[in-house]
Amino acid sequence: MARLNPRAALQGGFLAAFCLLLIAPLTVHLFRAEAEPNLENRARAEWPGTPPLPGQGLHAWPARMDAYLVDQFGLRGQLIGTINRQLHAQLGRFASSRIVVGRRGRIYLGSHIPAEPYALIHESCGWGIGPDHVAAAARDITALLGRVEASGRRGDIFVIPSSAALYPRDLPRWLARQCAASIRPAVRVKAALPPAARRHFHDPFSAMADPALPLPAIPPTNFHWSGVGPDVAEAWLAERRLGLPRLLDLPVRIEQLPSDISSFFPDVEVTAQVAVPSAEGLESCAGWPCFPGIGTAGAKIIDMRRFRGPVPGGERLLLLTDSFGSFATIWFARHFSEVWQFSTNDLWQLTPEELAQLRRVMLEDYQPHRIVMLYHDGNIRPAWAGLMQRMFPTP
Amino acid sequence: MAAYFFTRYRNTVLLFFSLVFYAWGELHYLPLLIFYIVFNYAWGLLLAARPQAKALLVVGVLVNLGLLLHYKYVGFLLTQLNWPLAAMGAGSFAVPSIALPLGISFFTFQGISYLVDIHRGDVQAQRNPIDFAMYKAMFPQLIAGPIVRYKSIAARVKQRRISAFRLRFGVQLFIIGLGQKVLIANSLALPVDQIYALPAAELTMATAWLAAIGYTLQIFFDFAGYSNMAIGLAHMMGFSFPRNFNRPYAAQSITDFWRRWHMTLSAWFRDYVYIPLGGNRGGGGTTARNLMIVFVLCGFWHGAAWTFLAWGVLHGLALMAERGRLGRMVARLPRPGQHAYVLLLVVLAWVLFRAESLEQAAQVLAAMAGFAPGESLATPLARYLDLQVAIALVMGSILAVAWLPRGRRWLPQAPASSPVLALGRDLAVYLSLLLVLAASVAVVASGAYNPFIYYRF
Repeated sequence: MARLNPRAALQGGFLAAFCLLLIAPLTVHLFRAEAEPNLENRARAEWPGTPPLPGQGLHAWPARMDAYLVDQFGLRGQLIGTINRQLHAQLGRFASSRIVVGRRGRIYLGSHIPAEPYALIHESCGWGIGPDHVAAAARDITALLGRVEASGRRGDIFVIPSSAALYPRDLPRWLARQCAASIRPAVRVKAALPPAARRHFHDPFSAMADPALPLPAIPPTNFHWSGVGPDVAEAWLAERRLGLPRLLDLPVRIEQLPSDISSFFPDVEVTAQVAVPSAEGLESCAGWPCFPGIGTAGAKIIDMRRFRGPVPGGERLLLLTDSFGSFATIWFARHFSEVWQFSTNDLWQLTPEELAQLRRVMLEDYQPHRIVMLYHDGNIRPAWAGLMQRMFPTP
Repeated sequence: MAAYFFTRYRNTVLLFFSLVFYAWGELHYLPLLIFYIVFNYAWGLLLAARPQAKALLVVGVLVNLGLLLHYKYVGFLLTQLNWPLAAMGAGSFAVPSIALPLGISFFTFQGISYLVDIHRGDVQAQRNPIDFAMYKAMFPQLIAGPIVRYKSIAARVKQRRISAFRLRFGVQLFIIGLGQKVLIANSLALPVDQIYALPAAELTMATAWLAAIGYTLQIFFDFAGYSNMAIGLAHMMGFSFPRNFNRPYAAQSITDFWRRWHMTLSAWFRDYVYIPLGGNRGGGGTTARNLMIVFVLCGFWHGAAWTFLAWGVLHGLALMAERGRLGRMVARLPRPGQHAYVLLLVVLAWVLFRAESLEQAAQVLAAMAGFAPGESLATPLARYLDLQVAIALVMGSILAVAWLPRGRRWLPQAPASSPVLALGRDLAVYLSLLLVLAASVAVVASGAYNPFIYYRF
């Protein structure tokens, strides 16, 4: 029997490994029981079907097939997880250009748009924000408050400073220098508002930036605020600005929880230390079933919740929010008898009929004493003003 | 894949998948590719039947060039014509908007070389239409080269053996090319594109240099990576494509650079333009003229824009100057001085190549020369030079000029002083290659920024 040449065997092994690496995704793709879970917060490309005939869309078919393969090929999740893990472990980085790794362990969500990787940071701390932007925001806010008042409700705008505004010194040095040379848009917008509107514009920066807080208002590894941030900001708004009495206290425990941006990076474990309030004693409900009256709008809004406190006689609050709202709603139950929160992030998807039904339930059925519009500082922009125009149209 | 390796009809299989490959990227222009195939096949047979009929050759070359002219240059030429016409108030031509067919420059040059080589008697016309079509459409080289002349693979069209050695060598080259493209070129593409998108007022000296050096490495690893993948795939299928790069940034003169950069294009211009024009046989003036003609054409071959022309002219001028006093001066410099001279000129020339317009090129060059702030709060260097980019720059710089002493010794299966040493070395090389492959696949999977630079040329 011929002796095995170890170098030839090694060469064979190399070729086999190469083929295996190429064939494995296809094999898994063809034989897996179900598609990988979608963790990407977007609709993935669907199977484009068999190629149509020329003249019936054949030209577009390869691009649709490419998109499907890019989104759905076998082992995709494992490969993305591997690169996420290695990038984080070896370089302390994340595979998305939208995440900016700062100093002292803080990470920032830089942008929702890959082409403008620092837009959210700049909008938050004010770099590059011109007087036109400030004037437009002041005009939009004034008009919005006017429309809310015209509908017979008290309206307040609550602008939450995000990490770049609260912790500019933890940004990468070049961004820190830009932010240090800027004035926060919230400050500039407030100054540009007429006095009547200014009274309803609330910026809890000083309360949230207080160095005496037991934990950072925004955990270093979170994009959203959580725990201490909404706790102090809500107390500041309700007691210092709106003059409301505290109806109850919420017990709090400190927990180590997955960071809210860890869903961007499958297989990378990023946690945050968070003060978690207890809903004990509150009647709480989250999601569409809590508001059956809003009909099919519920399936589009998704992020909504309700708290009812044990102490009657307080005000009813309607919270319109972006994604910061879900972390804050429970804290408002300390100062209001009942709190309803709806995220407006997906309001643009609602048909006019769905929107009218939602408004009827929120405003006429619920009859809130007060409407607080809670948005983080990167959100005060023309698109937001457009959404609010849909919510509170000009009479 | 299996269909290719285990069938007698390899050329038919390869042709079918090559046409599918082209249609996948550019279905619209598949008929054009087929026309090129049919025309050059038929014209090759005609030329073979009448080898002395120069007019036939001229017509064949003109048809190939005419199509290239139509698809690549008509818009540019009419735009240039419109300027003086507008100045004279004589109206203007409507400028058609023509999308550039994928790989047209490559398969046009391939067609011309085929016809000229038949006319010269260097190669016999291919009589089998499937075999010819396979050569013309062969997917690894179809859209981004290297420019494979028919005579260089004619012997392998009918008969080729795929050994384990050849298969492994092909896989090795493919992985190296993939790594060059995905891990280095793509990492540099993002900051380069971002800086070139800046308004002139936001450019700084530092960012301009980063863009220039980044692009110098990006274009090399992008194009060399693609070429290596093509050559590797060809080996896996039993063909030997010509080498396209030989450490060009290690050149000691611009003349030397052009012996190492896009070697198949340089050789094409040498054999089908420079030498037929008289080469260097007619004295200094004729040589200089011929060089300049070649480099003007070389510039325009890359794209219909003044920036490409300026790039070609700059290289042509450098080659002309090196044939005179400059060449002697450079030769007297110490090695590092020679490299510095080449790199500086090449980097500056790539600015012309990459810029959207001559105006932008002038702005970037001015910023590099110090006519811009050294640093700016708006666009600091750190904004573009993050850790990943820095690693790609350092690794790219080393790998672009690195020279492995007795490099062939590091190839798997090369002889070694002891069997254990040989086995260990092979194992290290294979594992490194598999690591590069896994990293490249993972990066592609994660949706990293992934443009191919050379595919439209």
